[in-house]
Amino acid sequence: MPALALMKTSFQRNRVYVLNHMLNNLGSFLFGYIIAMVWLSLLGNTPEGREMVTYVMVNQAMVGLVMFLPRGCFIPQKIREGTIVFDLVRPQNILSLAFFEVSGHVAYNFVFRSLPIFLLGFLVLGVDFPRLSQLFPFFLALANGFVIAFFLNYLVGLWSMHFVDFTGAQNLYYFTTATFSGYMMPPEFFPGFVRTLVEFSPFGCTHFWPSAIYLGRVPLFQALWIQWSWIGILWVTCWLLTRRLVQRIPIQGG
Amino acid sequence: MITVKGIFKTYHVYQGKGWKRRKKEIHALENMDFQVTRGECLGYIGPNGAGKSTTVKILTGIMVPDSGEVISNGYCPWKERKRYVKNIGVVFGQKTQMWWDLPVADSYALLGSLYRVEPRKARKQIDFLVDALQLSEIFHQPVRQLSLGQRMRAEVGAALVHDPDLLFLDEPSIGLDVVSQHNLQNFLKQLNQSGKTIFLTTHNLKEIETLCTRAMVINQGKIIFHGTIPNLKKMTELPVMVKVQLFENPTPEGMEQIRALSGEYDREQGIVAIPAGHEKGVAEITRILMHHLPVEDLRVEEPGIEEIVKAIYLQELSRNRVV
Amino acid sequence: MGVFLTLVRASWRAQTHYRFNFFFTTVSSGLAMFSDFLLIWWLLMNFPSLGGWKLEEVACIFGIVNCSWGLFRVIGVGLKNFQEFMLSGRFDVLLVRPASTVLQLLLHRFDLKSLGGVVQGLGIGFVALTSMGLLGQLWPWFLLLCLLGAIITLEINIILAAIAFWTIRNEEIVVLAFYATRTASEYPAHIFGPFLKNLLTFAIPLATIGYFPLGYLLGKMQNPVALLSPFLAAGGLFPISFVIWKMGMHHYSSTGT
Repeated sequence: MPALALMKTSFQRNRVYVLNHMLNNLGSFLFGYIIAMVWLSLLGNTPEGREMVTYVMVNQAMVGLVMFLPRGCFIPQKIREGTIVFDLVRPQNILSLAFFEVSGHVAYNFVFRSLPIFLLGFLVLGVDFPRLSQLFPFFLALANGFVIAFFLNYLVGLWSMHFVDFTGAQNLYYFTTATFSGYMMPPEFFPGFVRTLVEFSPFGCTHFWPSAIYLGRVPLFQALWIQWSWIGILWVTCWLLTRRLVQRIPIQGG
Repeated sequence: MITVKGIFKTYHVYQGKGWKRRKKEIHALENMDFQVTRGECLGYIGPNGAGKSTTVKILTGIMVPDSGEVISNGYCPWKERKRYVKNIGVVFGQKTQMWWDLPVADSYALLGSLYRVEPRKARKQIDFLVDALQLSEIFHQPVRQLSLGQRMRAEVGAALVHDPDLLFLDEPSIGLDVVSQHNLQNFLKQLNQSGKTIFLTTHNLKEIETLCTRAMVINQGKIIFHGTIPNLKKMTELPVMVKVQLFENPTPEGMEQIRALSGEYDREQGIVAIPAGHEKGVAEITRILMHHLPVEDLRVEEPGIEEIVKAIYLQELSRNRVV
Repeated sequence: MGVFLTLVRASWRAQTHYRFNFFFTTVSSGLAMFSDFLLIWWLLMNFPSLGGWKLEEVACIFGIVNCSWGLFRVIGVGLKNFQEFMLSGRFDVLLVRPASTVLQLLLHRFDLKSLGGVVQGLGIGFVALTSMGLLGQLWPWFLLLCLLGAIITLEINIILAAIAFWTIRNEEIVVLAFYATRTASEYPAHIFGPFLKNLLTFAIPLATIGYFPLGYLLGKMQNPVALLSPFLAAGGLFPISFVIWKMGMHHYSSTGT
């Protein structure tokens, strides 16, 4: 199974640095804690306030799964080092190689980043567990959110195939996802048209929809049709662009 | 095994800055034709920027030529890429296809699955590679801890986990010390004798002499020689040079001797260069020089790739002029 | 001064070589930075105040903190990526040169794109001051606080970089001890409860960049020490960062890792 083997390798690559990551989790938790305290200050220690604390901390635990993926899905790094040639001589295409490599990375993040951060949130801030019936819908929406985040990051990788320097594209990705994913607050707090953008753009699919389902605020099917539509659109886009760009990859050193 | 017909490849390079930059065409390959027979080890030589890498990239399906045909191992590399690459192995000298933080063993296991090698077959092949490439001590070490020589050995093994019939090696011995080079060459020779076809790009003439029966020379996107190694040597007939470092300028009598041997003296560096020819061999020249000149150091230089290519290129030009 | 100008010119040329890319990177990095403020702005539009601070007042803190962060980054790239210097062995190159290592790190490269952050911080602060009708009165203070903030940021980052002399890798520590606390210092510190507030006041005194002096200037605090706190922090951190850096260098050169 090439897919599983790729995921396993990518998972193990991270285990070398597990101690560094634990320290990093503390920092990551602190970011969530800051926003949670802002909410508690705004809404007070009310049911609404506590709901927002849960919303924020669930999103914070999710950042390693749906926001901070490997830059450009490792592609810019491979272009810079020239090792992209090896991906090009494999009997798989770059899109699926990247997907399973990033999946392994994210599986690692789930165990060694998301769970510890969530646990800290539970211990320090008393984050609520979801109702049992929401558990499966949540993980389904979360998985969809990851796939969409993968495609968005992959687009950054495609950019580096064409222009080599990808800082601009990475910045643009960071801006759109940080602003419109709703990781800090749900759509109802955004002004007018931005609310629609958070609800219906691919960015909201990564953070807002999964955590809204966690809180049991929205029915699963509503999240699913938006997420699956975006997965379809992005998949086709990435696939077509890969076909076009792969033959013109700038290969360093030769 | 490989048939190449009329390959053209042109790059566009942008020159100048900002908005005013200009597009410039570079002809990397022009009308390239050649064949590689099954079981052969072909040495591919040329100066930097001659189009070597472009050729290898086209043959491995990484790059698409502007026009022309390639049939390699029964497939067109870029049209039937996935099926084609299952049976080729690739080593690119200074790049690694293993995973930096992981043991060699893990990289091999992953490569085995990527090529969907049957587990039992993969284990057998990996055992063979560990044994033949002497990897047992380093097999469970992370790649980043390996020395260059060890890494290169593991690298060659990584390209062979799926036991391909056709091998592309791009500068496999770059940066290796003499002993490691020798070991690697022995291993490649074994492989070749067991029936693998090898396409070897290198700067190292010795390597080509030990491994290849035929060689191909490319310059500025054109093949300027394709034939056996003895023919390549005969065709160029470049002399071996005797080079001597002097510790002071030669006497007028010494200069006389240099001229008599049709040599040259570089006054700035204090180096005398004498071509060894049919009349006087290296031993005789050395004796004369030691006798008449204030010699500090002496060495004998074989012609390098650049000189051979230049010689063939000039020969080609003069022949065309005669015709 | 001549060296300084040459360096700026070289950085400018290197970074503007590909004009489209430079333009795109600068605009997008400005946008990426702006997203932090955008979210705070949109959020606070829904509420009358955050812990007694109005939107404009929070924006003032945000402006100062980010302006000083930007000023630091223009010269502090070397310190910011100090782990890279240690891992690649480039730090040893600095050691053999006859000049202060900190100075060499600072002059290593000017990151002109960070000027975007400075402009943004100033812009947000000035718009906020204008809408409160306090611009004429407070702009000199605002500029002075940005400058002091840059010095405090620099000193904290020297201390955090020095940790790498012992640990080689310090990225995670910087994320925890600086990036997270820097984000916290964009808000009125009392909303975080006593532990984090004390941490931001006495241990990693980032609250003295904007929160305390602005609290005094905007009439929320009566104690003038609040206004003096950035001077105290900058002055107090100077010898500490100096000594820790020296100790680190000593440790590094005696263990010879």
